[in-house]
Amino acid sequence: MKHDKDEWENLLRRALAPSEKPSETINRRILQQASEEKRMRQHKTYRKLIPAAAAALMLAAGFTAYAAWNYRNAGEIAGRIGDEKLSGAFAKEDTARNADGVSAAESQTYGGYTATFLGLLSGDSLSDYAFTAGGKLHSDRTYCAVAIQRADGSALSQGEEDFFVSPLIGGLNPALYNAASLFGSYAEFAEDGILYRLLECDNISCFADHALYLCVSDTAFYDGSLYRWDEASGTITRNTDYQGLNALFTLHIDPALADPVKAQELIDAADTAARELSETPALPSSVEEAMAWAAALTPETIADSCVRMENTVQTCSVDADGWFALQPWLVNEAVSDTRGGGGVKAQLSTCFDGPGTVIEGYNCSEGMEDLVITTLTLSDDNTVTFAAWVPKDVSIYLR
Amino acid sequence: MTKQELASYIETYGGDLYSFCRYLTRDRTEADELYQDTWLKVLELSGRVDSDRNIKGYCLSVALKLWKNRKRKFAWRKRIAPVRTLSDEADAAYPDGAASSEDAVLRREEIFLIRQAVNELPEKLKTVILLHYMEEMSLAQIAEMTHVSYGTVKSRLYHARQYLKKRWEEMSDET
Repeated sequence: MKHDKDEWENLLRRALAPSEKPSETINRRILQQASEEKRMRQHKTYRKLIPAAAAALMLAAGFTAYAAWNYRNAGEIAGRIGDEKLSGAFAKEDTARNADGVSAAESQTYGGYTATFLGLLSGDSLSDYAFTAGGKLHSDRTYCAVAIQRADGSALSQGEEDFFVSPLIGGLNPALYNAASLFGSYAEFAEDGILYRLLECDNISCFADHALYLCVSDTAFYDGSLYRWDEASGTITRNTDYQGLNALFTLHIDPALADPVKAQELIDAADTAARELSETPALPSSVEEAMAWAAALTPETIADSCVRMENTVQTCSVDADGWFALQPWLVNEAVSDTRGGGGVKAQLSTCFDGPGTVIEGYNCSEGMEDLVITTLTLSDDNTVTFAAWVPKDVSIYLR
Repeated sequence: MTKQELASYIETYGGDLYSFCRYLTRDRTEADELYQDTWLKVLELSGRVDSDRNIKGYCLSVALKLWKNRKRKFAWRKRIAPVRTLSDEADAAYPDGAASSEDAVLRREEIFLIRQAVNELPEKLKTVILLHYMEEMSLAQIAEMTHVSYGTVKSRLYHARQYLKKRWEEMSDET
């Protein structure tokens, strides 16, 4: 079979055109895990660089609640994480406030940590960076700077402990409406044993006619047991019985900035985001059932309900270093989507405590019909026997 | 990146990425794991990714990086390509089972032999061949993704082509 250059190129392209498809099950599993990962990392997403053209004018809605002298100030923190525009905005507000007399930084010490509220600034396009979610740019944001340090003076390093920093809104359930649901993210760094965190979320100034708070806790997420929410009055208070860090600062934002229409939009967006997160596609019940069924099998009972696929059985010896190597295997070559494994080299000690049979693993894509269970048996003569098993009667591999 | 965006990317690029993973790993189980890990890594890094960039190219580069790390981490594992029958391999070229008349011109044996030869390639050459012919990436894009010079990519592609042609002719003579 001879081909000229063009034909050969064409042949390569045709032969290598993507032809493999992932199973529906694996795609569902990815989306399911993505939802779990998203919950875990909701507050750790670093911000995207905003295209220069989209950087709009800074509005005069900025407001600084506090500035501090014992720590890096909010502007310095923003500068340290590379957000010069936000740094300048904080500095400008600090200067304006300073003329009126800057309040001292407010610190609270609980559970061996001191949390210090260093500043708050809200406004549109205040940052060099933009936060996007769902393909939508969130430029109208609130930024909060806090410092956290150990009360005993020992150094705290970045990532060493979990902390949750979030604005809370009086009248709204804090478990549902916090930095996570307000499209929050943060950047942080440690310096001189002090952890500095700059949190951002959608602009909460529109809630200025509510009581507004900032919580700082030693948890990864909002934990309802650390704060008390009085549904009747809408007030949020610390749970004084909690032994760890559950600081709660009161935010002072000009009530004139309240905007009930915009506030409702934020609530609706948070509700939508929460609903999306809860709509996790489940694995098909047939897969769940098959996996549960396989999990209940033991080496002693597997032969009662499964058939050993003799074509997969192979026995190998263990080398002087305790390794054994399995050759490639397929459950049933006649089945188009047959399951199998590559040659695997494994160490004896990681598989066995002593002679006997262990269930190495099991998996399926659809359910009982394509479930495959694999076993390894260590014999007294120090050989290892591998076998694949399929459920009796229902398996496609038995047809 | 929202779950909906991820689902949309999986819908659009899932097949391309999975095919790449299958060839890279030469094993269905490994490919499943790499494919899954790649999407989760892409999601994890989405906050640092410019949404305007080439998503498919980005996913492929993440898969490649994960595969290299995985091989380093599990260096003791020696995966061997599962043996598949000729008909299985050829059928895979026509997943819907209905090849068009144009497709039918290409004989199944040719497809099978080329795929077999690709799987024999050293990984550096195989990566370039897959990115160029399977994923339709330019040499410049491959150079950027694999962190080697344009000239190196060109050279690897040349050597890979030469090897494939030689092996294909040898194998087709045998059959």
